[in-house]
Amino acid sequence: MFGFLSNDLSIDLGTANTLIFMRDKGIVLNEPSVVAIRTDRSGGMRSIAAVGLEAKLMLGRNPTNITTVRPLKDGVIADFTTTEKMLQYFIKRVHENSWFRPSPRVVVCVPCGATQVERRAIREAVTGAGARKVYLIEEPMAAAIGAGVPVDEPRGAMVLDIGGGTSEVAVVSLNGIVYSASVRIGGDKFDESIINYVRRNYGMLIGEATAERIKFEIGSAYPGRELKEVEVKGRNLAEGLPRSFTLNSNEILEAIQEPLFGIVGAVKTALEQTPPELGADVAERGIVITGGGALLRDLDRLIMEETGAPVVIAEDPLTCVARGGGKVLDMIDRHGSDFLATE
Amino acid sequence: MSEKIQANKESAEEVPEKTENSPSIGARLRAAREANSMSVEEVAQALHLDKSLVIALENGDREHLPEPVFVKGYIRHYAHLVGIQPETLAPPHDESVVSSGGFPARESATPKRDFSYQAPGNRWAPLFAGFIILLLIGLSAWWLTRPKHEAIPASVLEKSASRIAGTSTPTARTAPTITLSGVNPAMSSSASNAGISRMRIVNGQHSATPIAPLKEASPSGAMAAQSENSSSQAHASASFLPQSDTNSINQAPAQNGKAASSLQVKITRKSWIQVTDAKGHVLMRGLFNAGTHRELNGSLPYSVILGNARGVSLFLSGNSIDDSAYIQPNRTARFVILPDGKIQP
Repeated sequence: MFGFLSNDLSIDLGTANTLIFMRDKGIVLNEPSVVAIRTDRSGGMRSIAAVGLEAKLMLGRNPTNITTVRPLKDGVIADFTTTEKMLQYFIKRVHENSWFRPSPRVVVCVPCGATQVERRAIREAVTGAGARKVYLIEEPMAAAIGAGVPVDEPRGAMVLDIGGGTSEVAVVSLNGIVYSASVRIGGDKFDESIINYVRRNYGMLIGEATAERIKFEIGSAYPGRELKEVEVKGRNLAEGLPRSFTLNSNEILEAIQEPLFGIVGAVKTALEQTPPELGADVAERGIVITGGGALLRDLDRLIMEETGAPVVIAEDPLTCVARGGGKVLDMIDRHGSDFLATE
Repeated sequence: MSEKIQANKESAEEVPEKTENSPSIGARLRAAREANSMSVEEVAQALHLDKSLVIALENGDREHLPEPVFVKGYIRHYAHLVGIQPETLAPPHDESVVSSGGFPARESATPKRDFSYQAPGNRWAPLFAGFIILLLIGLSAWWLTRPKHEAIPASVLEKSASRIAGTSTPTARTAPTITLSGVNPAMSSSASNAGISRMRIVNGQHSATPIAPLKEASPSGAMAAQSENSSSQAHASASFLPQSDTNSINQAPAQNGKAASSLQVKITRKSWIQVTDAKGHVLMRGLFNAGTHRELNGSLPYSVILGNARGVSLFLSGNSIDDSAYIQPNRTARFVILPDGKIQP
């Protein structure tokens, strides 16, 4: 009941960011998937201190009675209760003007590598957060639809969605996924690699937030552009004191080689495994990259050089999955549920 | 294939002339390519594209280009390759630039199952909800302000009636009767009172006319009046009164047949009862509590169903009806009361 009082939502429940697309309104929420939990001094009660951006600012800067949690890991739920609370908060926030408790229909994306248990957990969490009905859709499918790739044609199109925790590569044709693979490499792995590189080569310890900032500012996936530098502050492991030092883009390129080639390997495997007709379509039209990872400089160039197929970055790659889910919501009403994932 | 490319090349030469005033994206890319002294083949190789696609890109040839998502990517790479800032060609996230610059969306050229957003059907839902809420408010307002007397249950009437009858005439307590035809209890009690008072007048004035209202009232009322009369007997009217009384009893069935067919139901134990008359009218139906007394008027024969026959006594025109043959434990008694007071299954 009161379903008509809340708008249908499409949620991209990502490891790094959660995005919510609302019918008629577009992207209404884009917040980090971080929850800060305050533990009572006596140690008993746990309550939510902050969710989203506010909580992310606390990440690594919290006192002992507050713990910041990223409830999703590798694209799936690692902490069920916290995920549920976070979704509850987000759904409530996008329905701020409602008098009644929102109970929308929700399309939520799952990594195509997620197991049955993981899918069930995502469904349960969204239901627990107040959804009236939950539809699951595989991330690359939503990404393809959101990017504007014609998925209903009998032509193959390859989508590479690089998220925070996982990268999904899929070949879609005729509203369905022909081949899909998921590697647990994403933006977080890049950050981790940068942290490790800095510790190894500079003997300095930097936090996740700093690593992410370095990646944004000077990270690139292909050599040849102008050299960029960034000043970083961290803790010197030998002295135990904060020190500042300079990193350049070539160093970062070197640092993230391993995760980069994990992704490139997945794309190459996908091209190998794709039926030849569809492979030819992909080689002719190209591979579409979506997700936050697509913002890494020259990533398209790297994949283009490695695979020999044209590579394009979708517009507004961060929101592709959520927008695709929004379009699917519409299509469920009109065409039924071809696109939806089975549990 | 080569013919197509040839044709494309020919048309390519015409395009710049047409769009000289505001050069299309394709023309600007071509100009930049030529300025860099690159051939189409070199560009195609660098972008990993088909040569025909590069030519189509330069010509704005919508037929040979894939969907906008790909075309925008190609343009970006091409621009980067020839040293143009892609942003100067087409600001990102602007579909119209791609179409106005000679790269119309293929989807718009050949409309099909589009994924473009359509307005959902639930736009009227809030209005509809508001209407329903208003309707509910209106209904509840009506419910609260409606006249109360309509809904007073029959059992309440019955109790008040017996109370009134009991207090007004002690003799009436033996048969506190209410006609089922919806006569106001106050009226019936006043009628019996009136009957009594008139009888007293009758005693004094020896007039037979007041008997008419007596007939309207129940015969039991008449009986009660009679008993009272006989107790407060006046010597002068002694010969007259029995006569008038018998008159009233004899006249009644002859005039309207009501009195003879009236069925009294006295309930001593809770029972389900249904009484239907010859015309099919249901005179009484439902679960009745002990102590209920009813008088039913209808046309004989009555068909009767008693849930608990032990707890129900029936009287046809004051005569007890023997239904003992139909009383069986845990069984419903079903029989028909004939006009002569006998019963049959």
